[in-house]
Amino acid sequence: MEALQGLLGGLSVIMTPANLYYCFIGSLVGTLIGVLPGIGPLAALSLLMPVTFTLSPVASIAMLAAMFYGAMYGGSTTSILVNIPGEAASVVTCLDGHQMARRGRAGAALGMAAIGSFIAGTLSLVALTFFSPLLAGVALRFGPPEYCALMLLGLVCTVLMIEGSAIKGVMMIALGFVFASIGLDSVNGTERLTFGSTDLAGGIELVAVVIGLFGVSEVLINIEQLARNEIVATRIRNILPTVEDWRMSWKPILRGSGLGFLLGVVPGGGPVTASFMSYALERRLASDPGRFGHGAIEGVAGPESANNSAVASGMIPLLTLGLPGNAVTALLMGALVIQGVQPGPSMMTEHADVFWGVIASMYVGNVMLLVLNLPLVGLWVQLLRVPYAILFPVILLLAVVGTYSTNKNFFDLWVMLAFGVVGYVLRKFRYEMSPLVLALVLAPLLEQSLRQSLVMSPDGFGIFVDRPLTVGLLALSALLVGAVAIGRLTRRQRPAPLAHPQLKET
Amino acid sequence: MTAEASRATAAATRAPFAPAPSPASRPDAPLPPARSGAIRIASLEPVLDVVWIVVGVALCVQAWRLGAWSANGPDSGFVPLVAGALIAACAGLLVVRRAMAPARRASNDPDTADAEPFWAERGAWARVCALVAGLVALVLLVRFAGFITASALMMPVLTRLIEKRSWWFAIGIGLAATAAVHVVFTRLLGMSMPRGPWGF
Repeated sequence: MEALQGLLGGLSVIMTPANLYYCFIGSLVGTLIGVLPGIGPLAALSLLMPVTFTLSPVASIAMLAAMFYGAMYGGSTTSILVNIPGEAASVVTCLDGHQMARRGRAGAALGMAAIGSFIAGTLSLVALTFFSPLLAGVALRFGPPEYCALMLLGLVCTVLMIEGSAIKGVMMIALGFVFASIGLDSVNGTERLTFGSTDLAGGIELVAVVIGLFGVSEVLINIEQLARNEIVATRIRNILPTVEDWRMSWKPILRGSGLGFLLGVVPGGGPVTASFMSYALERRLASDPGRFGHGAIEGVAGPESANNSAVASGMIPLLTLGLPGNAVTALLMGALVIQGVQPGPSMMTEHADVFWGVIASMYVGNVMLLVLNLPLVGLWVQLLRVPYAILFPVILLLAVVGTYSTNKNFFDLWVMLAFGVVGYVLRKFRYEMSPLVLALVLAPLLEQSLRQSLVMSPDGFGIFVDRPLTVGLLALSALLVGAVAIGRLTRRQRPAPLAHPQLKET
Repeated sequence: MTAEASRATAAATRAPFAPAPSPASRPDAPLPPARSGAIRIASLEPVLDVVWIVVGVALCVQAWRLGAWSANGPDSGFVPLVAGALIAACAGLLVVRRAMAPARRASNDPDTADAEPFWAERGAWARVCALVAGLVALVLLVRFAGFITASALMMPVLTRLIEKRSWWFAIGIGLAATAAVHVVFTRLLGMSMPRGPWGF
């Protein structure tokens, strides 16, 4: 009941013209960046995050979240029509979606992708609505040791979910901790790793780091090649799926929703992993797996549902525990903190309007996106004609404006540039940037809860074994590490990374 | 490399599973062989590992000086110490894995193998360096000449250098992008950008 009341309150918050407008703008921009292959949701989110600092907290987070799930809708369009994934979570949609388009069934594929996304997004939101208050209630009783163990478990999961090298993932997390510790120590005010620089004493600005890592380095990777894909003009008919399509798709949509929900909650998971795993699951369950890769509609319906479901459920750890599980929610957390809203278990009571407003905005945004995507699909395809020569100057200018305007500090521009180059080089060596950003946001929280735990403990690290929940969480982390280590040692052959490094996480 | 082959590469890079969309580019076209003298990513990995180890050890030294442990538990240097040690240890692990299994280079092991050249496309290094240099110039100009002047000067140069378009196209795009960003972000959204000595 509490959840329903909250949701109704949230709807009354979001149903103001201004908030609806920003939610709409977020959905529109999200679809746009989903369609454009040269810019991914993380880059766009970081570039436009500074813009939202002038808005109210609800409008700001509603708009940023809409950009993220909007990109999940938009990404499928180009995968299906021209075989170019607009963003990483739509890579698998290319496999069967484009084959459907080649067989003249582009309309059905697009329609099923959008409707599946809508159903999965809404189901996941319903679960989020009822699950969040319960989890927040439990989390209110957490102390620093529990938080510490929880974050450790989160980081372990993040490393295990990495598709590429786990060793490199650990290094990126460690690097995130190093960058987070630059500046003044929040406990005793000692200057750390500043090398006497007054600019560094204030710490490294998160916005500058993410704009560099995702915006600038993405441009550097994209300009390596001059050749651009030519777009074939496609006429799209029959957007509504047939009865037969529905018969084949309803189960994949439901399975994708469930799988996406789980993978969204798990730290390090998220829409990209969800879409890949849903595709693998559907192929395994199919009575005739041979159809996959040749235009099986289940291969579109499942993954497209899974990625939208994962976006919604990814909000759960952020809103209830105050802990982001992936790079996007880490950014949203940064935006919330800048807005003066501390995400966590007390957010539901202290900032009920933001908490429920954001959840309600996601219901509204999903409806907006269904309307935006189905009839306007032809318009979105036209956008692919925008050459990169026009796109990249705009991205770079946005990077400069966004970085500078956050603090009005020239030093941040150098930070952005440095992280752009570092991100570019590290991506070449197949290091993933998401764990770094996640660690950068989590590090101060983890360090603080660790130090608080040890201060309140009478016998040093003993406090971590005295509390049952902490013991459980730590044991789970150890168990996961052990199981995976044994698995890797016994099974020498590892599966090839599914996504291309350039498309990953962008 | 022919235009056709480069287009096929571009498509393959963008969409890993994908036959390229245009009929001109064949889905089964093999990736063009690396140019002679091109540096492969795999041969640069050991250099990066050494950098990591140096960085990791330096962090540990710095962190030790800050004090890693006090009577109350972890001190300021604790987190950098652990992080630095992890970085150095993981880099060491990568070195060991590479040394133990050189055959992996041909396989798809993400820890050790990447036979692709660092810069696959002809002229890629020049474009990347030009963009970085251009961005340095842009940031300097923003500081001393204001955002509008810096952007109006640098954007056409970057477009011309990187996309090899005509000067007219480059100037048009550069000025249009500057105007659009200025109107939307500074005027409409009220974000303030640095002004030059001449008031804009």
